[in-house]
Amino acid sequence: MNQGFRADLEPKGKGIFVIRLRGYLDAYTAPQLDTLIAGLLEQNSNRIIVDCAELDYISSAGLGVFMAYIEPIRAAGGDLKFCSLNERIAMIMDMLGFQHIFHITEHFDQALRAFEIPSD
Amino acid sequence: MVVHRFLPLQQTTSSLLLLGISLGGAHVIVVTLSETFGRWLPPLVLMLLEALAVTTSLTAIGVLGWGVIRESQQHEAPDPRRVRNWLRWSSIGTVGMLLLLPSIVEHDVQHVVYLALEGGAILALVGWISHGLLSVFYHYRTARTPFLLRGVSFVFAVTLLLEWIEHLTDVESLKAAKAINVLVLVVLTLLLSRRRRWLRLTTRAERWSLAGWAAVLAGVAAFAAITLFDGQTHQAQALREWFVGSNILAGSLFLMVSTYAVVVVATVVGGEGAAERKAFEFDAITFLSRVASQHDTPEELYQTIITLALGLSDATSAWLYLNDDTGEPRIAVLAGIDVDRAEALMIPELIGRTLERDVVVIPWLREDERFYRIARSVESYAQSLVVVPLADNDTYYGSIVLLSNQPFAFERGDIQLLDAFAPAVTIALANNRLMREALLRERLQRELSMAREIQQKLLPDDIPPLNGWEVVGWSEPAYEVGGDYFDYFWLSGGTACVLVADVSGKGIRAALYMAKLKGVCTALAPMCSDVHEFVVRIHQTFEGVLERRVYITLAAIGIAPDGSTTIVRAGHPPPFASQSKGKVEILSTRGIALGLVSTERFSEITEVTELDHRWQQLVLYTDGVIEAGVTSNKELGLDGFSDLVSQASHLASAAEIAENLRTVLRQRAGEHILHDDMTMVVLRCSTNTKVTSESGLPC
Repeated sequence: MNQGFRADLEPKGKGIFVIRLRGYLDAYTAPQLDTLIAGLLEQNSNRIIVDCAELDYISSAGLGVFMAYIEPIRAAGGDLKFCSLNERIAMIMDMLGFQHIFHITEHFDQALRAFEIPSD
Repeated sequence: MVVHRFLPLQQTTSSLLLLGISLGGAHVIVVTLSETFGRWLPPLVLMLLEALAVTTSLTAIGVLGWGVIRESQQHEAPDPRRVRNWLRWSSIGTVGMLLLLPSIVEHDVQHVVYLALEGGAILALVGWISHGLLSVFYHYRTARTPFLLRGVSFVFAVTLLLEWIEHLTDVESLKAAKAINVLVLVVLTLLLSRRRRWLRLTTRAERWSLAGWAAVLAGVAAFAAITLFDGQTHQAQALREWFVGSNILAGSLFLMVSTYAVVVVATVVGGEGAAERKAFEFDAITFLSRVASQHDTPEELYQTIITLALGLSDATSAWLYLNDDTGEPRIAVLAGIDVDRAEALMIPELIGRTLERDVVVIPWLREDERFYRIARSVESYAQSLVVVPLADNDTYYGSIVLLSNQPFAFERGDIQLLDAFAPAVTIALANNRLMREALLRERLQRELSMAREIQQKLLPDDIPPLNGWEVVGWSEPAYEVGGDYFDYFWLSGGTACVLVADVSGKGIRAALYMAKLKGVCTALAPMCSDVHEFVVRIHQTFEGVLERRVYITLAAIGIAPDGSTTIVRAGHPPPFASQSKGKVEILSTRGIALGLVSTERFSEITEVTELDHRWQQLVLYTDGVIEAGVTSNKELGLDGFSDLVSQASHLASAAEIAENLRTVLRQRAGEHILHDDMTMVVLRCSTNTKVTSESGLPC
């Protein structure tokens, strides 16, 4: 796996954090993301937007990270939303039925707005 | 090595020596002045000059003595070669002093000046020789050395005092006291040279060369001592010109040198053990290389290493500080010591240097600033310590820690030997580890092959015709075992179910879930009448059982007794459907993977869809097929795979289609290692004419 992976964290104010993913998220790189989200939860930051604009690939291990944290995040009153999925990743998510458990938006602004004006 | 400070001196040695020599020069000048112009000078000035001469001589000798002591302490440890050089040049210098000086003409006009110059030369020689002797005493010291050296100083002081009393009062009856002093000096010298093991650790040639020069020096120094003790000799007078008694002090020193030289000769001539020791070294190394090639357990090897290390040195106990597979270096395999005592010595500073793979030598714990605090409490079993690292360029295997209950138990020769022994030990450890790793790998490989065989047996060999459909499947795990699964089941009421599933993740973990899935399906099938119910009940069984990060996707095709088909797709890549020669349809029905939501939600989301009766071919597969080549950006993708399926659809049977696609996919993968498990099941309606369901006949 020589394709690089990066997960950058950016606070957006109002307790919202954006995780920008880049490259290949697989079994080798998933622990990085895991540590990042665990760190956010530790400081009670549970309003998270995962920006996938530059994410090229996601494996089951990568998806597993989100599955592991979605329940604790929601239990703490927060949410984890996805935005800007490329075609391939959108297809994978759709195939697995992830749209039934995660809030997935086309653009970043939509995800941000969804946090600011909570829908029912 | 930490040099023990006997005196709290701050001045630099060279400035002390320079000052001493300048004062000596001043003394000679003053003597010359008073001798040359004495008869014309008033008595008061003459007296002042004489007082100045005494002051400069005494100060010069004091400062020089100080410099010599200081220089000896800081001097690099004298190895046998340096000691031999010292013995040689001391002999030559002493011979020069004895033969050359008396040839100088007496009763010259400037006789006193000559005497002063000669006395200065003898003093310089004495300073140089005593510097060598002191260096040897300091560096081959024992715990009692400082005390004994203080004794020597005391005897010198008493001797000088007696000389002055004799000089000022003309008392001649102090000879007995002086003789006792000389005797005490000899005894002190013998005690100071008790540490002689280093002599036995040198090579044979070096030992005999040392002994030869020591024999020469023993003789000439004894002769020099006698010459100087006799106050009438030229050399004694030259020294006495500097101050009264200096000839006796210098003579005493020559006596000490002679005594020490005799000790060296005796040690070498009577030295036993050297040959036996060499033989033991040889045995140790051959033994170790034999041990390294045997299938010993690591514990046996460690025990051998410690036994040999103890045999190669004078250590009283030893242990290995081992960096084995556990990741955390630890104290292991102790000999002559228990873990608690060993742990007390592994202070952080020592561990730090040990882990940096340094050779650590602590001649005496009490002198070492790092051990100073604990030195007294461990004194009964630990006074000196050596750590020898066992490492090659890549790997640090550990260190041998050797301990002695005596101070200064490890000589330079011991360290050299242990250092030479370390690579052989390292190779033995490396071999042993490699061998163990190879055995472990072999065992794991065997286990995995067995697991693979068993997993292959979990998949059906031949699938019989199912309600008029020919079904063929294959599966290729990326590793020995994987999480892909395909199978067929008979549900109650005669419906057949063909199923392809994929447990997320890879390897053993996925394989174990896959095996569980097989059991669950086999148990549930007879209790379900349709595919949707079957899949929902599978979900129910797994709810709360799967780890949070794990999910299972599956696609199930139900084949009713009349040959009509239904599909349930739970998060799985969409199957393909086609007529015998036609466009390929992608069956993206609604559904969600198992393990993501509650069974109730799962049942709501996951729908069952009836398939068009015109479709005579169905292809189920796992994502490994469409993702093949993803790491090299040559991913096949859904479209690429649908093209391949379309190209293969003209083939006559499901078996041919499955085999064709398998060959094509294998060719694409080439020599690359599979990224993910690949599985495929091809279903084909056995007859070309679809029979209506009303007829009750399959297909």
